[in-house]
Amino acid sequence: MSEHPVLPSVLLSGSHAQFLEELTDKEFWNYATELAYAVSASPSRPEEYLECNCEAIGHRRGWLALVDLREVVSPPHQFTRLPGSPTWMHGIMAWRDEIIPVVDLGAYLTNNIAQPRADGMVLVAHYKDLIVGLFVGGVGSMTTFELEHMVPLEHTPANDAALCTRTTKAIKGVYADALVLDIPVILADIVEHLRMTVSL
Amino acid sequence: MNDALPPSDENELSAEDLEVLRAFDAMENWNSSLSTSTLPPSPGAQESSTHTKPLALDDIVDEMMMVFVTEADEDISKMRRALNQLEQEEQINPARFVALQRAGHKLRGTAGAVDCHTIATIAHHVEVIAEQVTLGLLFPLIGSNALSQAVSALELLEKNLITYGSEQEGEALLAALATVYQTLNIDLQQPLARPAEQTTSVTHPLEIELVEETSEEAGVSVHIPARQFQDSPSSKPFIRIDSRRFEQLVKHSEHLAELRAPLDNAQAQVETALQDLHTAQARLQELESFLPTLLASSIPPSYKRNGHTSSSLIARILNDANQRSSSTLQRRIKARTSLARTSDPSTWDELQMERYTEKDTLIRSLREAIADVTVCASRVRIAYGQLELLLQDYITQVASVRSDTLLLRLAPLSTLVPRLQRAIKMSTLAQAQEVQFEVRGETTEIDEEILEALAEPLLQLLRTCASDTHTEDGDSQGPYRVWLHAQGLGNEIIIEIGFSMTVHGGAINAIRDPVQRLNGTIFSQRNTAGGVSFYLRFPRSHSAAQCLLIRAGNQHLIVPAVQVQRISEKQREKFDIFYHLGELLGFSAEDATADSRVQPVLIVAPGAGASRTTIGIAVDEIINELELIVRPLQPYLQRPGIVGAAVDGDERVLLMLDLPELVRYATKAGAHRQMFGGKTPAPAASDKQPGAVKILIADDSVYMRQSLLQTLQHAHYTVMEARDGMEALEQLLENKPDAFLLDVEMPNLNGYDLLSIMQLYPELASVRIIMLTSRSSEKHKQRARELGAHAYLTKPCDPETLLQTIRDQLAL
Amino acid sequence: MSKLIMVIDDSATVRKIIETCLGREGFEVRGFPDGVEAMRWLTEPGSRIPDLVILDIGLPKMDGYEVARRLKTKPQFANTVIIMLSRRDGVIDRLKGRLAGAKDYITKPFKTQEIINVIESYLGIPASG
Repeated sequence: MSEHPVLPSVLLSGSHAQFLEELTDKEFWNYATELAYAVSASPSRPEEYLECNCEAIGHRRGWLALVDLREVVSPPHQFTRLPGSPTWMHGIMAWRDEIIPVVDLGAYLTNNIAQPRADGMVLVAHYKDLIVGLFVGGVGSMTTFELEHMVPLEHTPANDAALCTRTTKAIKGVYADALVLDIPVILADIVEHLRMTVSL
Repeated sequence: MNDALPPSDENELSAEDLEVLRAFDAMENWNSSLSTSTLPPSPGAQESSTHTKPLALDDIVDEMMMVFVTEADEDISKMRRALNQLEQEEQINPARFVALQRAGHKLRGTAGAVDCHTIATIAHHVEVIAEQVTLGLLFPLIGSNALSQAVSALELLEKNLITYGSEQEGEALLAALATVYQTLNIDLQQPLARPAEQTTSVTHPLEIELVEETSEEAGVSVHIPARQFQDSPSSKPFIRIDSRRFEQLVKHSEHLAELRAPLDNAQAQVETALQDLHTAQARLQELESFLPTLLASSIPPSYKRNGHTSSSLIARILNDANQRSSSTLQRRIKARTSLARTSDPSTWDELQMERYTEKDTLIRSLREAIADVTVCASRVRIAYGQLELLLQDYITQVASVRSDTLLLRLAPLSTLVPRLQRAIKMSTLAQAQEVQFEVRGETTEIDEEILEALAEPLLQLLRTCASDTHTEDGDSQGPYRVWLHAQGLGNEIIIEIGFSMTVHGGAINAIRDPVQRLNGTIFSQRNTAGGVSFYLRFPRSHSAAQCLLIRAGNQHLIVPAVQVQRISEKQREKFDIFYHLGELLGFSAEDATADSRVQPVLIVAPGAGASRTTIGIAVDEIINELELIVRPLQPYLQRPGIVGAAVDGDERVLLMLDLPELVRYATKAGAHRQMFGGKTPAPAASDKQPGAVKILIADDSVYMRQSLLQTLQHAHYTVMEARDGMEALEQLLENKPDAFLLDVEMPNLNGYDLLSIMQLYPELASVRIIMLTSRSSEKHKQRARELGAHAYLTKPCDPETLLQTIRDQLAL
Repeated sequence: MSKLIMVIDDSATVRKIIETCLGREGFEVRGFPDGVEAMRWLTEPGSRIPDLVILDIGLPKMDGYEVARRLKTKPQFANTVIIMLSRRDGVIDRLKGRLAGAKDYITKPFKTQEIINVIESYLGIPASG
């Protein structure tokens, strides 16, 4: 089986087309089957990520997978305080037809108090039927990379003392000196925290 | 065998037939071969075999088959003919369906007799479907569709029968037909009782309470699925609405639609007027740009020209004037021209003339342009005024359409009354005694869904209360009375269900959850007839709520208007319970404004009756009263005391508070825990005298009360007694104890009822509640705990444990 | 002379079945598609009073109950047994049948043996001939 990557991203260049033609029927069939299986089993599809600035983390920047985001909301924002909220939560806000909690990403990751600020962006993230707003200082560019190229957290220099143990689960790894964040884990954790505060 | 009957008049007696009948009636005797008959010999007389020649079985079967097939063929053709006629005719002729029904019926019997069961089944289908259409249970078009499929199946089967001698493909055809029926939503099993008339309903009803009743009375058991209460109103396929109201809605929406065109027109007019204004403005600006050039250009040429001595002086003056403002320049120009005119007519030259004309034109143009602008501006104003008027109209229409829609969802309480009456009639109490049931205010309108959700709880309440035949000793004046009084105030409905006697406890516990789901409350009070009344409060409909917009710190919040009895200034009044809203919500003190400014205080309306405790909550500002649509928050965002949230015009989220709940939560939490992470609020003014600890015991057993009394008095507690739930409640409110020992089984209000009601009185939040009951299962303990009990003891309980528990609870 | 049985049913097949099975037993059977035809035959010369009438309820022109009632108005029919034959088997239907003068009630679909048994229970087994 040749080293050809996933079919969709391969432009059928002349050489490749010729290669396909020269296969016998059986070989072609095998090739096709292998490709089909390869596509479904491959975990390291390149994904698009959005860069964001969240202060209070050693690395100062984070990557969020675009598929987990619904919208980026620019200032000015209006947050309403919700009694009984964790310190890293700004409050709740109205987004389209929903009322969602807004969490300061940096504060959450370092278990600090969310400081009110006038600027910054709210990234509306979703996971299953949970929708949570992640407040960041700003957003940068969009990049595509594969998770294979990411460096696991353990291997990076330990200037992450600011990160608490809970949040290390939320970080998939480091890429280009910024933290790749696992949104599903973060969102589930946030909601779990909110739920626990109530049962007193 | 020839059935030479005319196909269309099959069921009518022809003149000839009547003759036959008359002749038959006139027949005197038989057995006489001389009897004459004036009738022509019957053309259709059956020449049936009367011989007893034993036929071979096969022959018989074959002959049978032939006969059957011929007959079946005829019947099937009849069906096909009827179907064709249905298709071709303009109007649906019910006679066709009757014909189909008859043919189906006949074929079924016939086919069954010769064991052609598939044909029999399908023929039965034809019969049932045709009958359903005739009875109005099925739409004719759907019916004829299904029938045509069935008849085709029959034709196919018949062909198979002829060709193969048996019913080939029977199974497949039946399965295919089953899917057809399913797609068309035809239920062949549907009982054919005619549904009760609903003259006011517009859509085809799926379930009707009244049908249940009439059919039960008729003795026919009709199974019609009861409508389930579901959280999402859109999940039901059909609803019933009043057709008059629906027509009103349609009328109003049409008005609304009609307003659209003039609105668009008016808007267009405003736009045109604005355009004109813009053009005029542009023109003005254009002209303005000519001004300087024109004015400036008037000087140099004159300067160049004037070589004459007379004008050189003037020219010099003009030169000086050039340095100065343009108005001076203008004056000079004017002066010059007049001078030029008067002084030297011969030196009048055309250029000067032109310049004057140009200037003049310019001035005139400027004047015109300014006038234009003015006119256009006023036109804009007029057009805008008209637009505004139309918009007002539009908004009013929208409001009336909205109220029509809301009205549609409303139904009077009287629709529930028959069921309630029945429940009472069938109750155990009514079997033993005479019970009178009276209803007032049955015309009160409530959202249909809420009404439906309320039905079961109300019935449950009646059943629970009337489930006891315990008679009061001696004081029954006349028959027992049960009454239902309903009242609607704004968006709130209050229903009083009163009993003139002691009732069985447990009513509140039974219906607490459904009532809460409706955002309602239920409490109880003794009434003037000597019995107990239950009060149900709930919203009339799920529409916008009237709220008060308030500010605490820098946060804006809303409070339901019904929860605020009145507003007062802090200085003048003294309250039994007082909090600042910021404290209740856990907002830090730094957000609060200085105390020196007078803060308005909201006096909380008592959620339940007979509460004499005043509760005041101070806020920083009362901004406004609004109507907003409040929606519940996500489960993980819910907090005690926060009912939901609304979004205002600026996209800001406003939390909707439940004041009594907040106070209750604060009181409970205040003792030993910081609430909401804020500072511990100041405890309410305590009316506890040092040294005398009061304990209330509630148990319907005299013996129990006696023994508890002794134990507690021995331990130096002040003891109060209550014989039933109602008494216990009154004692709680009048003479608040420090601890409360209560049994579960009690008349009027049982233990769980009491726990529920106590939650409505924030002032009772500090009472330590100890259950003392014979029920020991985990389920009961759990329930008690959910409802707010602090400790749970099972009878029999030794005094030591009891006293220890009390001591522990009081220490908290 | 063998006993005469009248079958009034609008289905030719049913008539054929009954004629055949009862005919085999030794009865004389005459079939008619509806009450009018039956009565017409009865007015003709050579007709006789039947000993038993098997009567379907769902008949065109005049339903079975009506036919039964009419037949029973004639004193000559006093001894004639009327048996109703129909798909329906409700208490009401049986009652109506009885009120109309029927002695018994058979439901369709029926087994031929059933018919034979019922008939013979009223008329007895005919002498074989």
